[in-house]
Amino acid sequence: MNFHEFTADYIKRLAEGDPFVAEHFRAYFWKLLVVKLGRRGRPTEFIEDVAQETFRRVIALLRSGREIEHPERFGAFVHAVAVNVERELSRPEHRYVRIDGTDFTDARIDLDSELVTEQRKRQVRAVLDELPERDRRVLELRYLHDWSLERICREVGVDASYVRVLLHRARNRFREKMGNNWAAHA
Amino acid sequence: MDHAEAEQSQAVERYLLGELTGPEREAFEEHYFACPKCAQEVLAGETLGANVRAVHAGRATADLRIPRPGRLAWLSTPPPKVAWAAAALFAVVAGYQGLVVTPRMETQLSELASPQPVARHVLRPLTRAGEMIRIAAQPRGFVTLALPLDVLPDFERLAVEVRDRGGTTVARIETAVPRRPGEPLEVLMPARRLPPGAYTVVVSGWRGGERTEVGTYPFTVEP
Repeated sequence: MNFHEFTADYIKRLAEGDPFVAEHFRAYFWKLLVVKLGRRGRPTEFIEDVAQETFRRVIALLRSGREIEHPERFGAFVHAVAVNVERELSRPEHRYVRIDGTDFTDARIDLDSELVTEQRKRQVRAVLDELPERDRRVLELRYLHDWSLERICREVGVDASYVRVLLHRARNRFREKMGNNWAAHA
Repeated sequence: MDHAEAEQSQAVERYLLGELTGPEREAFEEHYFACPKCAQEVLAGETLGANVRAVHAGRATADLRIPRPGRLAWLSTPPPKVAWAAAALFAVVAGYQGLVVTPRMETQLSELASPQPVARHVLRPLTRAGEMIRIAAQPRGFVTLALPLDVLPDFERLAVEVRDRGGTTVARIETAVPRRPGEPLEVLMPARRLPPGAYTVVVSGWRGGERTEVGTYPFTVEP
């Protein structure tokens, strides 16, 4: 995540097989696909399939001479490919079946393990400890119990903007504690 | 959607809180794939959430401590030790209930009241050739074990036992005999009762006070 935008040079080096750029490309979009598809409850194995096929197609398109007219929009191009792959793999003939014959998994748990580290847990614990009881409760209701925003507002007696601001501040505090390079600690 | 629009509409927060409509969500996802700033915000939010869950998992016991009594000016005379012990015990019980039991029950009730997918696994009798049935471990929810029953004499009822590798019974139920021939017997098991390991389901039939084993179904739960 230590870069600020996609450039023509980045795309050219990716097409040419530069190992550093290829590694960045995969790591960067893997995380985004985990978030995007994980929020839809997709199983980890399905996400892996979508990601691998997306990466394969994007690189194949670039190597076939496909021009990316606006390099800064390269991420949107990857997103469009991923959306198509997801649709294709979701069709009945591609219905995802696990090796044990089931197609169910607890995606939330699997995907959390992508993001949880001991260091991050310590920092989040520190952020939570700094918060007033009510704010800590709001975060726990949201993240731990998966309550809807409406339900939190009703039960805790706060409005939606309060929750949004709280979430924004907690995220900033967390990032401050992790340092600028927090995403590299994965 | 551009970055200014995303900032103005608090798209990151609304996305993380699940407030965006389908088209809004699609538009924002397309944006943050192309916008490293927003992507970092989204990842930070997801990472925060994942770690809040992880922290809470370890906090349930860590927070289980006796609260220190505050300085109460009006209490010039210390109370008897018995009273402090009783208060401490009450605090432990109340704390445990408030911090551990109630949230856990809320979560469990919420899970039970919500529709949820159930993994169904058809087991194979020991007598039938084939590879061992392997099941992926689940941290929560339920799994259905479907047990094909080939021959069923006139039993009054069936007993189903799930045994671990050491032969210890981890679950046992008695149930009616399936009415239609060939219909598998289905057992709904809480997934947390099946941690990774080797298991055997033993089905027995009862008739006139006599028990007869009718099927053995080995399977493995994998991490």
